[in-house]
Amino acid sequence: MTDDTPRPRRHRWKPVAVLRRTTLIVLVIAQTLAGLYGMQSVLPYHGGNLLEKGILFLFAVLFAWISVGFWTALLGFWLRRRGGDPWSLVRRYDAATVAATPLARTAVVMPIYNEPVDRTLAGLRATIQSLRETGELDHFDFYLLSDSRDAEQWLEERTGWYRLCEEQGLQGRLFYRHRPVNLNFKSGNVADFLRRWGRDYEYMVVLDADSVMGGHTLTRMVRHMELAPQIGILQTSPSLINAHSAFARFQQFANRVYGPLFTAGLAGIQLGEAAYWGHNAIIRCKPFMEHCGLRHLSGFGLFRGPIMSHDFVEAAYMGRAGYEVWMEPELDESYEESPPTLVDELTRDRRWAKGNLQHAWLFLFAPKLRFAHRMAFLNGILSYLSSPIWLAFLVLTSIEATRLTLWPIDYFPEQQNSMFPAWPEWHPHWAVGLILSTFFLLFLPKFLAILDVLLSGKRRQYGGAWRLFFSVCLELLVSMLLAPIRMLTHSRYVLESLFNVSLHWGGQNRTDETGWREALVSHAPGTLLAVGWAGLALWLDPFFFFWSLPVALPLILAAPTSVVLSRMALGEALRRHRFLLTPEEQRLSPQVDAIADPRPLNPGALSAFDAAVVDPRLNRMHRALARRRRCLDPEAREEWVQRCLKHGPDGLNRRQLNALARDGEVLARLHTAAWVAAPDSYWGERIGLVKRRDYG
Amino acid sequence: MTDNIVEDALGRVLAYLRLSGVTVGTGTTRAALRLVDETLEAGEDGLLERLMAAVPERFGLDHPEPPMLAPPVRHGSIHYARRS
Repeated sequence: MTDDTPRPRRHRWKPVAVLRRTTLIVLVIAQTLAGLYGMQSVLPYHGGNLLEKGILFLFAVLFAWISVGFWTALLGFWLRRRGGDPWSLVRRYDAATVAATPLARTAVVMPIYNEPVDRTLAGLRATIQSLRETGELDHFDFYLLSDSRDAEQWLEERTGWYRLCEEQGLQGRLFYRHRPVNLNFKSGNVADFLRRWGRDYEYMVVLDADSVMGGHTLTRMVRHMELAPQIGILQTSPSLINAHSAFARFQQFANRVYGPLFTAGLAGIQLGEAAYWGHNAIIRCKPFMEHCGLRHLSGFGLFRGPIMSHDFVEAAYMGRAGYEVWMEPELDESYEESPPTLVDELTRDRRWAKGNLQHAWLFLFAPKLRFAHRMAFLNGILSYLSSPIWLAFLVLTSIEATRLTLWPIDYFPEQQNSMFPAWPEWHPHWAVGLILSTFFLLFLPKFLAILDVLLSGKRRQYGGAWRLFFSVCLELLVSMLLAPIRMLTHSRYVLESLFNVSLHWGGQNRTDETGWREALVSHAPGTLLAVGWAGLALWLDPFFFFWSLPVALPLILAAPTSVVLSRMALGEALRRHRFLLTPEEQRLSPQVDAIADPRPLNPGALSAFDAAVVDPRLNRMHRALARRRRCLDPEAREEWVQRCLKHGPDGLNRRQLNALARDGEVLARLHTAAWVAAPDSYWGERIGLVKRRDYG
Repeated sequence: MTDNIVEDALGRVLAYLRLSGVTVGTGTTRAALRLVDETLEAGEDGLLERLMAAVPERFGLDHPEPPMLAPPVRHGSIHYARRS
């Protein structure tokens, strides 16, 4: 920390954190050892050969991994039943103290990259309106930080920003910054904001393109930051909303029913050393600028270059600088959306997998990080690495089954220097017991979540007790169908990352359904693999075939699963029959309501570029905000202008269109020419569209 | 059926006014008609060019300043640890 910054005071939560973490570690180790003993008993040679040792090792990692989740959920259940964690930040100060705390200047920043503009701005509009209702809007400024590269996209964003400024009367308070060079992805975008305007603000609230936050929550967060100057980052736990497809509604339901248990448990373990999730959080600007610069990794392959997944690292650096990072599940009115389809989720996971695996370098070599933050890195790494570990486990068990069936029994294995033969033993009851105990670890938290809802008296918000129970069973079925698909896809991503294959970085699809062709092509390798594996299993041993089915069958059904779950009609039908209901779907808050059916800010008949040329007000706005410098070769520019006049924007490539859209003089020329163009020309037809009275 | 040149010209003027934020009522429409009529007196050649050039002045279309895109920059720097 710098000399003029007060050194953060230590708080009493630390011994509690140590006690809880130690208990968690002891429980996980004990449970894993018990599971390992069970697995060893199940294996025919009881771990007596190399293959079985490998199986035992992989099993131990996987069992420990699900054990961590199990105990986290149990802690969350216990804390929630106690009425909340007494050590949480929000319980440190009484409501009157918080309410009496003055606010400080805060920037609400929304980094965007090729996002649907109307939906994105609807979320920002809802946040602004909610803040206005608190009467504290004057303490907040808003920044749209665009990294979009296509002229059509950034012109539409700028038009939306202009109209939102007019609509909300926020001229000079709502800003738009377009960054033509996307250096260092989203973290570079936010860093660029901080370099330019970070010194103007005490705090920044980072929103994602699909985020919405309530004004009351935002003001409460600022006041907590003011009360506790040792806090660097305060993270909320966003609820998923606005789901329409069946897939998104399953994710939304799981997030809303099980999420509170897991986040309460996680927050209880992490306390003041929590992680930052990259959005729906408030950050203290000064220490963030002083300590959270992300240096490129200096390793090899994947571990060299810019850090892709920045949030965990920034939290770790904040912690290293002596600041606390809190995640507060009790801060409500914090929302985001789910990817609408499995394909979209897996596309996003490709980026996240690489980002999280990169953290291995920091986990091992970054100096002076707090233990909890190293564990957060490990948690993120294992979120993806557990998939190839599971796959490897399946491969080794398949080899074991093959060997036992096809090879003669090896009574005197090389590893065993004994005069007595090693008799292979098979205990089906042990195997069944082990499978049941694994299911217990995986599924008990889900049923505890039902119990939590029932005990909280909120069952009506989820459609009633029976519908809630049925919805959880349905979700269990779907999650069992999705788990092997995710496992195989994540395994591929891990391999791609380790071999450092270059990734496409793109915005999320938030609307479209998955087509059959797309699904069949993308899932074909997994389906073929599963058919081959199940066939081999059937040929070897019927028991092994049945054992393989929970994994093989979902992979065989991956394409139809993906297509069916992407359907909006199915999602809506489930809603109509009151299944997978969440509280927000029944009692629409103004924020949720505002994004459910966003009012369009851009008239639909013209593309953004066409509107920038034709619409007089938009044309004047874009001209006034165009660059003063001109870097174009005049001859090339003239040629592109002529092409644009003749064929419209379709006659130009991305670079040319970007250059013209940034040139005020060109926009003025195109505007004048468009309004006098012959009716059957490209621009004459555009004028014909805007002559209709319903335009605009 | 396509518009004749006068219909097209009037339609353009009215659309331009509407998009410029003018409420197009009877008075505005009559004023637009007069402008088209006056411009036509010089002949149909170059009608649209002369007409559209005259619209902003005739109707006193204002040119409000767009909102500030971004506040003045106050340079700060991001610090990087010597070793990550």
